[in-house]
Amino acid sequence: MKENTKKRILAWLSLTFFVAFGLSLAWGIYEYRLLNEQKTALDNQYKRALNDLVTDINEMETSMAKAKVANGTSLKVLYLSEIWKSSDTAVNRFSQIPSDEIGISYVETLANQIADFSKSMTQKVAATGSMNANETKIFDDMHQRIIETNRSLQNLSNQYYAENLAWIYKSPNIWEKLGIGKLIQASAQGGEKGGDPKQDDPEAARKAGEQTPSSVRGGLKQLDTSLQKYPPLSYKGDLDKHYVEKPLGLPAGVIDESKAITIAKDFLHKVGFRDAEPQVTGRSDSPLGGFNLAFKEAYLEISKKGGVVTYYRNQRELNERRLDVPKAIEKGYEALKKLGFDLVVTSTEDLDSYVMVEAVAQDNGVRIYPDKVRLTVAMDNGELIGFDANAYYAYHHDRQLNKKLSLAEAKNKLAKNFKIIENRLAVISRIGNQEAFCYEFRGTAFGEEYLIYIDAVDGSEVKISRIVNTPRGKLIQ
Amino acid sequence: MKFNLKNKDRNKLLAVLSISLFLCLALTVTGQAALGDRTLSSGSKGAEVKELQKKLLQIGYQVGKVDGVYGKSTTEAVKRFQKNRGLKVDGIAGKKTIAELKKLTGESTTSSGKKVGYKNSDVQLLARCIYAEGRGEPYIGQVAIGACVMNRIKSSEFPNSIAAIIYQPKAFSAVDDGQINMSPDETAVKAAKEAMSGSDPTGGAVFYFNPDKTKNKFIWSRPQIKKIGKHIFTR
Repeated sequence: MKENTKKRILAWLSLTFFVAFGLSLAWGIYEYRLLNEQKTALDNQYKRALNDLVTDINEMETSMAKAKVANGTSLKVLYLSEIWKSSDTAVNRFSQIPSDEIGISYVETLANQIADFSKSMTQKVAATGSMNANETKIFDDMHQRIIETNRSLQNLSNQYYAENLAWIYKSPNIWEKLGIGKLIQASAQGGEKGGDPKQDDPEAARKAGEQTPSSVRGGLKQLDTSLQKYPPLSYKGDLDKHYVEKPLGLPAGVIDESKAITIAKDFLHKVGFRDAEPQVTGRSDSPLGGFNLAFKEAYLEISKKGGVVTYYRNQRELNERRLDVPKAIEKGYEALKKLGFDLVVTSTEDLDSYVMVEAVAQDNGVRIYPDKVRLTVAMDNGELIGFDANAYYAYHHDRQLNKKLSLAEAKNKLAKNFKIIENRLAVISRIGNQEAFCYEFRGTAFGEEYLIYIDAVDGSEVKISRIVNTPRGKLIQ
Repeated sequence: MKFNLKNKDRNKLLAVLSISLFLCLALTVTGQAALGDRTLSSGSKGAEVKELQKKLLQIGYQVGKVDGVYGKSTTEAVKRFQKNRGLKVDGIAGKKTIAELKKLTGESTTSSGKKVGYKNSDVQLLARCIYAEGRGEPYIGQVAIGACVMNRIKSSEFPNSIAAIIYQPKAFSAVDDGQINMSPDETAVKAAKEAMSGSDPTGGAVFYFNPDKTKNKFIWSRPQIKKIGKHIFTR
């Protein structure tokens, strides 16, 4: 090879190298700047959430102090509703702050409890003018806790600004980011790569909690730990309304596995399976739980106590729709009758290949809304493909229903321009698994359709629902 | 050349002009044609097809890309829609099919007929969460994931809206890694609707995890309720 050609190749190679190097450098700078912009944007969001949280808790604490001393109805109601507003937004802000994992948060629980309590007190004070001694005591207890929470948060905020605290206690380094090191991630459905033992061990967390936090999340965890030291609040309110501890409607007695299979067979037979051979596939551990069974595409659950089917779902392929909604309701009634339920259908939702139907119990013509069964009717042949009686068995019991108000008296409580379409007596659920015995009025006003509930005992307006017509059925808001 | 046109020529010119004017008008009208003016079928293109695809997507029927081309996936989506609504299953969007689609994608109204919006944005978000977290799970398992979100709203230990729960940092791994932005399939949309109507196969769970992939002690320490598909649901 000639010297000249060699040189030329070398020149070309180095030129290519420098161009490539220059390009990747430019790309690197571009990416770096972009990353910084994104980081700043995200960091600003987090800062905003933290600042808002501190402001909300501070406002909440101040309003609580004022509400305690307010003696007139109008100011007391105003401060109570302010507490409700700031506690509700505080919960939201709290959930926007980054964390390394989410678990049960006592700060959130406290804020939610105060929101529920002040909401119901707002209503109560507006109606009666004051809180009773017990409620005052609970309110004061909540206030003491929120003073401590507020102090800690103010402290954390100061520390954040003074020391530029990190958001979570350890951010992954470059090797971990590249997937070489062990990345720590834990999340609600479980960290898929294992959590940090230090965080998982409550004892270690408690010890760490006594030191100065090195991150915002660490500080919030310390706050959580300090709140855990308090005895539980005597007010339960809306707490855990997704979960019923003592079901009222389960029959007596306890069943075993073979009995569960017999019950499942019988149920499957009634919903259209001839010779079904259901198998127990697992257990469920909850007050309504017991045995999980399966047969082909059907899945069902039978309670250990009382041995009743609480949940059933047939996940079969659905064929061409041949029914309409009224026919589906008819089929729903037929299925209920076969299963031994005497209920009344209250709503439907048309979901194309199937229709969801809600039916509730009736007691001497009184609709018992909490005792609810949800049915799913297939629109190809009208078969019952879904049955959910969890609510029914959780709440069904004999109720002492004694009304003090006459229909005419209840009607008097309604707005003057409200035109009644129909009325009946009904039991509805209220905050904290409580119930109210009411007159239900369906009617129209201002071009809208409403359901208005007037307490049949004390005559107060308990609830107003707005009815909206959606393409799939009536929506009760 | 003089611009003195003969009568005959003038007539010709007029004819040409009016024809082109008519054509122009006709084309404009077709360009702005609304969905339902004509029957759409495989091979159709244009704004009407795009409108059709958007409407199908709005109620949870996957059409692939919304591109204004009536291709195979649009035909299949129309067929599934027709099957589920009890219409003739031919994959052709004729008058009846389009009318039914328009009816189901309409806004909600008050009793006096005033429009008050679609009222479905939370369904879309929940469906995405279910799809990202639980695609491949049995249908009940997908409803169960949705039910967990709904249970968190009711629980005092979590935020109070669907968006606040789903976007809570580190609450769902599929949100953190961006899988939440995938378009959900029809099963996930159905599961979301069912969970939002109050169906809960979990018995009040607020957490779930895959036991084969999780060593996290916190999640294992939660009281377990039951296993559905690959997930264990806990309180």
